[in-house]
Amino acid sequence: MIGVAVSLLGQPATTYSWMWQEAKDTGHEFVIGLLDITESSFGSEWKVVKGGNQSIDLSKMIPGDERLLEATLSKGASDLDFVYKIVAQMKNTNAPEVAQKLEEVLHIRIASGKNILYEGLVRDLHPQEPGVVRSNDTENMFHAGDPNKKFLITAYLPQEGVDHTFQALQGELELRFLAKQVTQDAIYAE
Amino acid sequence: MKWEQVKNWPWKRILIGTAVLSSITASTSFGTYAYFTSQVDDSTTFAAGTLEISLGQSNLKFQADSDQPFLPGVRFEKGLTVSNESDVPVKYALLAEKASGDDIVYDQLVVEIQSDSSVLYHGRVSTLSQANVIIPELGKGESDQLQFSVYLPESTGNEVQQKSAEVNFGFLATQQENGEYFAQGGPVMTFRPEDLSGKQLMETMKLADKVSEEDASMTFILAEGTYDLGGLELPENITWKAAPGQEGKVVIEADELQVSNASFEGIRFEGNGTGLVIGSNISFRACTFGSGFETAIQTAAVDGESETIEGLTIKGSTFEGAQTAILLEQTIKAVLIADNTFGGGEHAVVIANDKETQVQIVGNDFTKVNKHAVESGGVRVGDGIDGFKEIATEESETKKLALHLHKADLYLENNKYE
Repeated sequence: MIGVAVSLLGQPATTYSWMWQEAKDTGHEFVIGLLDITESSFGSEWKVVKGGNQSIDLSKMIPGDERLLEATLSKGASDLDFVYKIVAQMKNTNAPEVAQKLEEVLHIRIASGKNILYEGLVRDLHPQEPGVVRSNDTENMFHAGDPNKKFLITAYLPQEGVDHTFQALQGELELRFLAKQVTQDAIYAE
Repeated sequence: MKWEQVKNWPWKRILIGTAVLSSITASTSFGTYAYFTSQVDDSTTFAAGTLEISLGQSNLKFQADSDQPFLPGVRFEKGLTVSNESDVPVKYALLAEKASGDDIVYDQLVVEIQSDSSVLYHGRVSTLSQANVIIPELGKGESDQLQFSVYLPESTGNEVQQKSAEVNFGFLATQQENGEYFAQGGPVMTFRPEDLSGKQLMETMKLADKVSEEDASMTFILAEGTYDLGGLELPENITWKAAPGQEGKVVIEADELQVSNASFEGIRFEGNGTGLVIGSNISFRACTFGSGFETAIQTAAVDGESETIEGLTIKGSTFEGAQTAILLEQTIKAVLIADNTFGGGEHAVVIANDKETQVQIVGNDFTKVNKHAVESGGVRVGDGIDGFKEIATEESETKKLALHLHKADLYLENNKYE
């Protein structure tokens, strides 16, 4: 312990008994902005465009039926530009294979104003999967100064290609807005 | 006295003797009576030289190339020139300190400091407060051009949004002859294996605990040999360093050695089972982990969901073949695993993906890992895995892979797999 004490007492003295000078470059502030789209919303009810029932109850849609939902992408208090996209997925927690089968026929159309950004199968709007690069026009830039963006989302069963094997299949359609920072390697939290 | 007798006297000697006597007399007279005096001084002035360094800068502020905002992955750069205006050559330490702002930002900031394309330091800014990077020589009248690049790792999460940190960078210069540890933040203690065993070990731990309670830091310099610290909970705010030239020869036997707020440099860890159980703010640099471990480094169990471990840097180290080199099974943020070599073992990095884990994995060599470089809840990155692969893009030749797995954020860049 004597050795320890000596080195403890001895070292600081030798440490500071030399000439030294410090030069500082001060006051570099690194400030991070905000990216927050949580104020965005999806309409509470699907509107019937074609067909009978009042919800997106897929078990009660027949080929040719269409349902419409309004969605608003809001930048909230964000002060950063960001890139966004819309993803969609059929879900059935009890029977994932049923959801998968519905995705073979359920179509979706996404419009912004007069522009149709996407029209095709729901499964092609899935979140990113490893090794599969999908790109569509629902992905776009949102500048910090832009107003909120409205989208019309139509889910429909085509007139053709939906045979009896699809009867009574049930699933939930999950729609999400995703946003990411504007840097080259940024990814969505998918 | 007859002439004959006188004639035979030793006149020569007498004359010389007289002359000597005369000259002595004369010289005495001169000394005593001289009117004119003259003096030539051979004086020596001991004047202290100056030791002075100054800073020049290429731009006032840190900024990104295209004026981008400060976001994870965006490098903010600034050039600084350190000039030696002293009368002597100096050496200097790189320093950084938090001036103000949020810890959550400051603790995650990474800085890369280059001089003439060679990297002097690449790691967390907060670690530079330990003054562990010394530039050994800056000649009289010479300058070093340093390029600073500050960024938040790509794996940083949303919790840093709308937060900020103000950082002061600095340089502490001293005479070249000054000791090895001139800029350390606190006392420097040197140990031999016999100083850290039995009763002495306990006494030292108590002393270190006391220093740590006062939020002071210390540096322990370990001489060559084996230190058995198995099962201990090490005191905090201590940098454990191998003595100069003895890197890799200082062995710490680690058996569930619990550490937090500590740095290790040039240490070799040996043991079986689990080696080090880590809490927050741990740094390993140029360390070696023996092949006997089942798990070399593992996160400590935390109480409840809200507790988070923050800050783990493993850099320039070698894992010789632990079955799992690094096991991150708790919520842990600001993890930097860079420039390490993993030899043997099943997996290099295993990460729980149901926890908010943020890990940056850059420049590692995984070629000798037997199974997978990274494993997280069934998602695997490594040799032969096609789905999760680092790829170059049209914009950048650097191979990268960013992953968001359930709750975990991983970013991989420039690692070698095969």
